[in-house]
Amino acid sequence: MADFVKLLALSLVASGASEAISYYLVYRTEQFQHLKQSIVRNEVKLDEEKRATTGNAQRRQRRIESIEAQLSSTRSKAGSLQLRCTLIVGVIQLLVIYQVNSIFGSAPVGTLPFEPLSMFRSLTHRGLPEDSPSNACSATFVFVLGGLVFKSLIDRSLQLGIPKGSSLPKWVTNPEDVIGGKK
Amino acid sequence: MSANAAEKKTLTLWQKALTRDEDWHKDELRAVVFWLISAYSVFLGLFYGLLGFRGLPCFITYFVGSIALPSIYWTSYLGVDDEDFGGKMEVLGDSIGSGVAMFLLSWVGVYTMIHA
Repeated sequence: MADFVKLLALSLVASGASEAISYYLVYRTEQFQHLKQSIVRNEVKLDEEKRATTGNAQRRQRRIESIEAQLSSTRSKAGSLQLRCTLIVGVIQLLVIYQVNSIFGSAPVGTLPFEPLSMFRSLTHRGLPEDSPSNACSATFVFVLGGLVFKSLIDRSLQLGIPKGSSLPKWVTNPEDVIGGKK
Repeated sequence: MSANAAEKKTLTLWQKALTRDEDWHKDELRAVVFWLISAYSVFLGLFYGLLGFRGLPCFITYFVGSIALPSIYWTSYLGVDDEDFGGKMEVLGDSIGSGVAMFLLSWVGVYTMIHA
């Protein structure tokens, strides 16, 4: 159990450090802040246009499409700014995972209350010997889970990055718009 | 009327989350849903871990609850139509992944501490 807690602490530190690197390299720059404010403004405008019921519907639709195009372009620029720090953070995370494997060795750090599917065994049993019990839990699995949790909590609490916007592609949320079925 | 309008303007996000029939923006709703799913995930993981529950039924109940509970909350209590925001998955979207990680972490951690 002590190893489990140590891994959580390590993943918290790694997530915090990743966010700090992203902030130092990208989020605090004037260019990124300008893009972020532009995205927030356009999101508000888009929301207002979509909720509006008065006025010419065709003109409103054209305005909506224009704002969506602007948003898409701005997000793409912000994304390319973030790419450099994403690569750096990715390399750091890989190095930390390598260190986790070498520090915690081949001993399981927990017991899974389920039988993992074969496609997940490479993660849940990473670094463990072949003859380890099927419900043994590897250090890498705990570290990765911790990283996912802490990254999302830090993102949501600090909101340093660009606003999420539409997380799913349009063909999933509004397929009738994409295939032209809606009149 | 103007007193009511002034009251509405000063509602924090969490006050709004406990008030029916307010106007919601997508980001606000997604923030509330994120924290709701996070709390549910941790609570269910702790519950299953403490009682030593194992196996596939725990996953099934988790996934059903993580979609049903927020949907019922925003539809029945908040009075929000998720079609206004692009559908159920658009509102839930980025909360499910982190919710699963929180559920697994709390479930495995408590199970290991008590039953292993």
